Amino acid sequence: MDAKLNHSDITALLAKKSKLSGAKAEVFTKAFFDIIIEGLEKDGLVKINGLGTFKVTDVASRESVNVNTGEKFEIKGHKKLTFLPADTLKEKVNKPFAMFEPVEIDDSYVDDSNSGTTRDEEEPASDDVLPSAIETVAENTENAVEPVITATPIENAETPEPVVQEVEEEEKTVSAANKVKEPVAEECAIAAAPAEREQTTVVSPEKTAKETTVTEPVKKSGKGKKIAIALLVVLLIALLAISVPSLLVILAGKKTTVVPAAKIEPAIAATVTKTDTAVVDKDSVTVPVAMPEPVAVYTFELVEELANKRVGAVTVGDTLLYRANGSIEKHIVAENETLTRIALKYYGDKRLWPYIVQYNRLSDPNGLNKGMELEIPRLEPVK
Amino acid sequence: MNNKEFVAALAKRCGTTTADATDTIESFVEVITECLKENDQVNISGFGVLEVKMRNERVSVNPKTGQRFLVPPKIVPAFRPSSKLKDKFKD
Repeated sequence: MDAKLNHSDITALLAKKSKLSGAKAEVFTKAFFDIIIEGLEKDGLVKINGLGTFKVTDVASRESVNVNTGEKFEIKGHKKLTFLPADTLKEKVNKPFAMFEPVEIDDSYVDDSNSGTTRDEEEPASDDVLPSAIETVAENTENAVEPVITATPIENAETPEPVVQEVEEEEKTVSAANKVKEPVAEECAIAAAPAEREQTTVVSPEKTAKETTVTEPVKKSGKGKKIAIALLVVLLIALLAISVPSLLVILAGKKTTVVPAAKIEPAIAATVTKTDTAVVDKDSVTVPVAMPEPVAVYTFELVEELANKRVGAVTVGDTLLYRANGSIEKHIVAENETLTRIALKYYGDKRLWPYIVQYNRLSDPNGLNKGMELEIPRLEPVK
Repeated sequence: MNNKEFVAALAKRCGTTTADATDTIESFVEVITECLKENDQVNISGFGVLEVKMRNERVSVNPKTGQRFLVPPKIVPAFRPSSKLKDKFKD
């Protein structure tokens, strides 16, 4: 391996192989290379079966630059000795890599994965509308006494300040949306009679359906536009979902929420399907009449749940430093419960779980077992 | 000079028949091939060096169709003429 063999080595190997005497082998190898050189001088080409072709080729004159002085000069055309290995020799030498074959690189594959991800991004965006909408519904039904902390569990935000801002922003957009959707709200406000209420349910989904149908053809023009429009549609629906129920709750009382809740559902359905405008239209008209009740019940359950949670919850932020002062109560860990969930339950903020760990002197925060008893510390801000 | 001519010239030089010369050339080529397979260099003074070189994998593009191919790495035999021989053919 990697040895350098000279003339005598190769002669010895030949003598061994062909059973020639050493002297004869030496004469032969010497003659072999001499004749190659002679043949090159005579014809400029020597072909040996199994080894390859030695050839004298012309090299055209070319310009070059002296690297030291930067001067241009011409390299004169000359002749060069080349060797073209025979296929059999190439094959034998390349045996270790013989199993490899050229592979076509498919560029279209990359494009596919790209468009796939954009599609994936679109879907959850429209799905997000539902929880956030319900959340704000819950918020508004309770007339926003102290909604900030109860909002955080669903928001999943990182710091408390942005959370507050976010909620404020949402409220702003709600009020903005209220202005835009004044006619709908007015209609609902007047809607004391159930017949009229039903009318509004039919009318408002049609509006959203129209909005989606208008944007539909534009989507096909370009990928960037498509995403932008999809986001716009989602935003519009979110605004609708937020504004209509909140107003209705304030103005018309509990029963009227049947109307907005039913409206949210078809609106989302419209964005998710996005396929046939006719189908969307049909859906948005029929669905609200058919199934307003279950959706409404769901939202009310959620509202009640949030309201109940508030009663026991201590509203705390995590920008302050806290000190444990006695325990609120004993908590028995349920299955699949985590410290963050417990912190969320008692403090309204999942980020305060380290205080529970500290208070209970837990060695492994991840090793929470079902049935474990935890003392939940009462937290007091340190001044 | 093709292979036939080469064999004839060699047989004449060594004083053997062309059939014997053909056999000997065959076994000599085999010897060289074996050496190259073992990554050895065959260094013949006054002639040059027969060796193997490793070629890395690369991407080649078919200019007509725009298809891109990944060409696998390979080992190729190579010949490096001695400076003496190079000068002989230079002009």
